[in-house]
Amino acid sequence: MPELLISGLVMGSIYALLALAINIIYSTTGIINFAHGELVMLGGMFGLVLVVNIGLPLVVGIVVAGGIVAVFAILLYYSTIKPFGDNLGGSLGWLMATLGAGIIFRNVAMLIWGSHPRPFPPLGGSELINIFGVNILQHEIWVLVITLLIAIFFNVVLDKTILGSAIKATASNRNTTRLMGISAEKMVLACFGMSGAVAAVAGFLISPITFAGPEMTVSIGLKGFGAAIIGGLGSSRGAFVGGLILGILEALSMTVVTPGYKDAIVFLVMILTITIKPEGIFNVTYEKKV
Amino acid sequence: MLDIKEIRVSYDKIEVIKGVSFKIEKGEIVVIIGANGAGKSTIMKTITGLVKPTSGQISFNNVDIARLSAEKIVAAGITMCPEGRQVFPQHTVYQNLILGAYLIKKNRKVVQTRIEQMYQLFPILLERKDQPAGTLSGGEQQMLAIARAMMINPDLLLLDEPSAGLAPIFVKNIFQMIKHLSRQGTTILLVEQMAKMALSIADRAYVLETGRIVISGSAQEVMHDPRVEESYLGQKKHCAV
Amino acid sequence: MKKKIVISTLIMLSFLVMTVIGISPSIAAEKEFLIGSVGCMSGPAAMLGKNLRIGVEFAVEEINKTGGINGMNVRAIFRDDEADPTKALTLVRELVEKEKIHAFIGPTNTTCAIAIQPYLVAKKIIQLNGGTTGTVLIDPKGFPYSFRTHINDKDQAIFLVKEAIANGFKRIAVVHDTSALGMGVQKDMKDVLDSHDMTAATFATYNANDIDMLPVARKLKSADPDIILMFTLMADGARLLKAMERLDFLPPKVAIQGYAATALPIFRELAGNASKGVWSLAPYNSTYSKTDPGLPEVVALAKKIEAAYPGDKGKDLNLFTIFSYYDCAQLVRVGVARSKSLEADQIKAALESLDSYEGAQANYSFSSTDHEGLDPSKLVTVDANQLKHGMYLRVEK
Ligand SMILES: Nc1ncnc2c1ncn2[C@@H]1O[C@H](COP(=O)(O)OP(=O)(O)O)[C@@H](O)[C@H]1O
Ligand SMILES: [Mg+2]
Repeated sequence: MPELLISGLVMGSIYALLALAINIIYSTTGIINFAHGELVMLGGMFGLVLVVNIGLPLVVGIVVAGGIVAVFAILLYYSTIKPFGDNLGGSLGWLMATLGAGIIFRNVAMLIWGSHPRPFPPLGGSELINIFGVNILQHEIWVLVITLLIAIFFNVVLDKTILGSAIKATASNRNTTRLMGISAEKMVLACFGMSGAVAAVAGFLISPITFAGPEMTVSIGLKGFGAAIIGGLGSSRGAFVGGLILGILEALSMTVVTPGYKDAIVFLVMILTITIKPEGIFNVTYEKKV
Repeated sequence: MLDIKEIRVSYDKIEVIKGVSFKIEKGEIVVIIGANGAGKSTIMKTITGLVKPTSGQISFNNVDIARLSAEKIVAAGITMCPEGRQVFPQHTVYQNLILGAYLIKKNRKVVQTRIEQMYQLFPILLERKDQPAGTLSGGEQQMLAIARAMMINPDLLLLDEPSAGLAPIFVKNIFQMIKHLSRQGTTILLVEQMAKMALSIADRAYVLETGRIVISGSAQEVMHDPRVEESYLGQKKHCAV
Repeated sequence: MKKKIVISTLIMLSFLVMTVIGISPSIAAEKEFLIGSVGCMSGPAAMLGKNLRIGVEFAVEEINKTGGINGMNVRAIFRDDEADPTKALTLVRELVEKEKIHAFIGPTNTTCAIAIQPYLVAKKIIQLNGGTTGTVLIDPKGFPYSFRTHINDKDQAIFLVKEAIANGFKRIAVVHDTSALGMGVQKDMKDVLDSHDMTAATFATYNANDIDMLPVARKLKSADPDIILMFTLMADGARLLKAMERLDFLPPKVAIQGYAATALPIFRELAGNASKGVWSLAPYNSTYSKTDPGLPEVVALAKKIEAAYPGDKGKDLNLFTIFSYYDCAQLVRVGVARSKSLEADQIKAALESLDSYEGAQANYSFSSTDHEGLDPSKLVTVDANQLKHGMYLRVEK
């Protein structure tokens, strides 16, 4: 049972990490970046180059990769989202464009690095440590802690700072935000940059578990969107809780039911959430009372 | 202060402002009246840079701002209270005001004193300061929108139909407030359907019809123009047979 | 002087024209034996095509050094089908109709093979399949010109169970994914167990690409097996072994044996320490033992490949798959040489008469009713952590 909880929490943290970055983009542009899984993959692959090939210390590697992937995220904005204009709700062009960009990232990564997965050094070494009779990697504790820290960071930035206020204002009404002298474009770029940096961190945290390869996020990418939806799009608290719920649900269904039904159960919960409580667990919209 | 020369504006190739020129001098209250769809809001959006003119000049304090971005125009000292108020419904009253002061956010002291001044001007906002703006009544939202636009103490304040959809007591209130702001030194461009009330506080007025200015003059002159009396003030000279 | 230039220009032009309208290939065809080869050489399955290309290239080089096929120089033409059946068929058509190939080696995916085999039958082209596993592909009646040198999944499944039983294991646990391939393996293994009046300790399943393997590992451990048979894709298998490591349930506490892919160096690298003592399987000729270095020709070939793809360059290669494609090309040579003919029916008859032909990978036997060159009896248990020139150490249990 404790083992089950731990694998649920670790997988849940991974989903939460994806959901957090998906949310930050959703909160300014109102779109879901379907190439996010591939940005995480790029984080892992650049991590491999920087840490394993070049030999940078892990922490330095995370910072450099964070910068690189942030630039990729910003380029992604200019190439797949900006061309569809300000009125993103009105067109679905960005959906195809981000999906397509994801495929391009994956294929180019295959051309550069080949398709086979590679081992990635875990934070704190590959020694197993025994806690309450359960063998775990130090890395897994880091995954939980860092995810929690990033969730708190986003929560503080969005709810407690002027920047966060401006980001949320951009999401709710672009033109009016511009009347305050706030550049909507800068806000959107800030969010894409942040989501890219978090994607790189996620890449470093996920790669030791999934192995680093162009297809490392294919199966978990969709679960990240699921976590964001279950928790409530746009809410950092929701992303964190949604991710953990998803992870534990999976671990449970793999043990209690059969593994074959795991994905089906998870997607059923997602669909139920969308139909019963479309705003997710932590909704972020208020009713207008006039 | 503001000098608009021959601006033309189109949406998707359909021209809605067909060569409009007018001036606003420092300290004035200027009002534009006109029927729905005449192009009043478009003029306001063009001044604030949300919409770009296809031709013409807009000079503000002798600088051409027609090609500047909306963000730069705000920084130059023009703010707007947009049509429909457009407060940020999920942000608290306080956060709305803070956003209004975004350009001076580094100067926290100034921001705080401005907020205090706004609370004095609109005591209801102090009462509601931690409430999401979406939960305010229409009149309260309008006050918030005006306060928000006043946060950086603009040289020129644009008000697009501030009285729309408000109960009569609120309307009176709002016009008093506009007069008050003007006395304190803010130049005001007002767009209104409530022509009578607007003209009563204005210095000068323009009448806009389908993208062209058809009448202009002092508020008094415009108020007594027979065409205005008939179409906008509802005092019919001829009875329908 | 001017005349000379005019004449040489004319000659050059006529050469150009001849090449364009395709006169030269037919002239060359009389001197050259052409092997057409289509496989997936890009995208996720690019390593399959890489194995194919290397195997065929090494064989062609050797064949040409030793006098070619019936005196004809051999040339191989490679095409990339990107694992796309439609593309594969187009490319094979081009090879047959434009390049006029004499024999075909490939492809590397079962779906592509299904798409092209009816066409090869219609055109009477000998096909050697060195790497795809679909059972339906080999059928002397339906596809009379198709022969296989590869160990298919079914044979591997049968081998793993038979070997476990022969070595006295009583509680056999199996782990595989829920894909069609995985479920097929389960059926094949059940059949063997049934015929020995045994049942599996457990069939633990998961979805391909699952990340969290701990629940699967726990299920395996709680079944209390004495051997675990792994039919798991590369990264899935590595994650499973790491999960087993956490439960402290690895050799020698329990025997673990995987199918062919677990012998790959990249699999060993992914699983790290957790792959220690985990057995794999390989065809006999590509293995060595403490006392037997292996067949001298095979060792020489293995050394040559090792020299051409040292270290990381050879990491995603699989020696016996390369051998398998190498053998495909050599079998084409043998078939043509024995039948002294370029006719598919003659070559087919010559191949069907082969009994225990010694290849680099294994000894192949074909007959008019059986075009599978390998069977489970040609496989042995190996320790893939102990490589010598890419060859695997046989485990003497
Ligand atoms: N975003 C837009 N796209 C296209 N046409 C518009 C847009 N906004 C306004 N219009 C049109 O331009 C004309 C002027 O509109 P507007 O400036 O809003 O008028 P007013 O504020 O005087 O009621 C109207 O005919 C309106 O339909
Ligand atoms: Mg209007």
